[in-house]
Amino acid sequence: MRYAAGVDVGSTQTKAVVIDEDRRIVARALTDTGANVMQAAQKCFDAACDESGIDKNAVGYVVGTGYGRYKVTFGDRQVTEISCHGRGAVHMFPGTGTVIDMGGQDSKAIRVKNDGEIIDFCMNDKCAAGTGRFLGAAAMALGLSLDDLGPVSLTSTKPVKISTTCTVFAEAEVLSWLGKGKAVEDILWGVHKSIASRSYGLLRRTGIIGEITFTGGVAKNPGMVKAMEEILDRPLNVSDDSHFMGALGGALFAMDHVVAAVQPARKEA
Amino acid sequence: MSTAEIVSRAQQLFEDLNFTYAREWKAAAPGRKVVGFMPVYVPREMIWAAGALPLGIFGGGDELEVIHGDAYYQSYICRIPRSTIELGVSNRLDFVDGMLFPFVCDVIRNLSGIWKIMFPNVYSKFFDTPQNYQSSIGGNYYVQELHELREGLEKMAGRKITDDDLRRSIADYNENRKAVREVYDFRIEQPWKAPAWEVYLLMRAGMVLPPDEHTKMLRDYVAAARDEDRPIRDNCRIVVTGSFCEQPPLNLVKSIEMAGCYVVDDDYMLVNRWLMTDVPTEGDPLVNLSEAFIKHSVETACKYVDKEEVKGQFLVESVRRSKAEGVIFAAPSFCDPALLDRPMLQHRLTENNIPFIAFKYAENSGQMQPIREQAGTFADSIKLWSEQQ
Repeated sequence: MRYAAGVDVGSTQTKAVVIDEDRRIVARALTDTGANVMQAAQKCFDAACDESGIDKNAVGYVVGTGYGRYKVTFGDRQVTEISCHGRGAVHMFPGTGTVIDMGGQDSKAIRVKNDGEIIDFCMNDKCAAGTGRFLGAAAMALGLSLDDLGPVSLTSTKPVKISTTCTVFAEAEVLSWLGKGKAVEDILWGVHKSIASRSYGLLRRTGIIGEITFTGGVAKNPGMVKAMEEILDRPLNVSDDSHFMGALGGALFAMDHVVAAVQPARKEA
Repeated sequence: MSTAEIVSRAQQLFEDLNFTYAREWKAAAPGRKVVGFMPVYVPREMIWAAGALPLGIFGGGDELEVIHGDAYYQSYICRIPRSTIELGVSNRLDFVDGMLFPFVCDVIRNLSGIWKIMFPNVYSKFFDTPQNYQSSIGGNYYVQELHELREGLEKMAGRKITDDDLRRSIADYNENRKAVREVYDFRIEQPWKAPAWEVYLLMRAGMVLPPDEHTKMLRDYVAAARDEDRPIRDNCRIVVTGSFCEQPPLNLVKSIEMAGCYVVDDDYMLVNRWLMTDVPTEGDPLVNLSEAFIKHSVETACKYVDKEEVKGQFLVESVRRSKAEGVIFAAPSFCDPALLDRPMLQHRLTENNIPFIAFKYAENSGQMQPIREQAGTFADSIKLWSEQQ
């Protein structure tokens, strides 16, 4: 059996996925990226192989993706995370026409063809509003862990409106609502809705076509999924492996090379 | 001389916001003058013919801290006028004898007025290029504008600019434009041997060096680059457009290439390439400069194109000539000409099945990750899917 792998080096976490020739996920691993990005990539890939008993030498091709893709020094090629999330999302949900990827530091709206090719994309370009970082700021202000944010927000009965879109000012606004006696869950739901509206703006810029698949680490947050579904007025495709979508896309590109034996470098025209 | 040595010299000139080279050039002989000019185009032949060094003032880049300049402009105005004012009030341009503000947009037009008030003892002129491209109308107007410029420069330099002075200067710049074309042609042929940031610095050196010295630098570079063995990277070929006025930071120029795109044509420092053919050295030099402007100048956003079907054709031709696979629209934030032009150009590219992406920058943009992500995805979409077809 031949295998291919994708290693997605994100700003906070590194993800590795190994797939077989049938393009099924046979191994996955998740580690904190930390300061040594190169080491994190290697460690994550090793963990995925070791935990599933796959011989690393049987992995014929490795694609690095994410912001640290050039640090995947053992990889054969680098592909951007937008390309990988698009490819991964279509593989997981074949009806996907639009992808919203929400990561720790950025958000992206991606429009894809039915084979995963990117038609158009748009990303937050100036600040961290509408990203996981915005949630992180709120969690810190409210003294909650990231995992608690979604479930707590879903218990809201009287949501407040968060008017600022700036991550730095959001913390101050959250504290101000606390000072006015608002319940934590109501403030949190307001934070989720604020992020959803920013992401909706991104999606409007690329256009929404077909099914929408929600990827990235923030897709693990049930409050965020609900906020996005409310603003979009339709259900979203969300996989249990949403945070592995970039690595999966990378592995799929890698498998193309394994199967077709396509040379990694194009010849100059 | 190796390419590394040549590029290192160009980078020193680029990074020196005190313009030491121009100061030393001026001090080297009595009577020498320096005339600053802003993007996009002024006839440098006229300045050089007056015995003055044309000095391109292309903003302050990402190393200049703008403190005073922000006080003059609203938040929705681009950065180049702010950093230009900063250069002025911080005495970095105190040796400059004249400043030309060519027509780019209303912001630069207004900057020329601010300059007159702030520096009343410096010759300054709003150089109003025509927006009509008929010789009998726009051409005649432009000849008059050139007469006015000539008189202003003569007064500043304290000497006459004869027709023969102008013809010699035109010959110098004809040679320089030829060398510029040689660099661009070489890059089209072997882009891996002429990285975008190196070509950028070489062209930027033309904003401070006299034409003959710049011409030599360009030819030395091409000769050295041809002989150097550099690895071919798995990059696609793209044209960058929209960066004709406020310049992107050098890191952005590098990032596009690092993300997987060979830049095979661009509109940085368009003054070097504005006139696409030689200007005749026989006959009336002002008429010759005017005719070259009217009939043989590049298309860019600050030039009016009166026929809708022609708009954007220049960009399509650039893509074809440079064998590019796509276009990156990279424009400064709040750049009215570039951003207003963009939808029309994108429409033309779509008609011709040429893929493109677009983003904005400021001359002091520091965060390159989103740029690399966008340029990289664009390169992926060209490379990965063309492989699968």
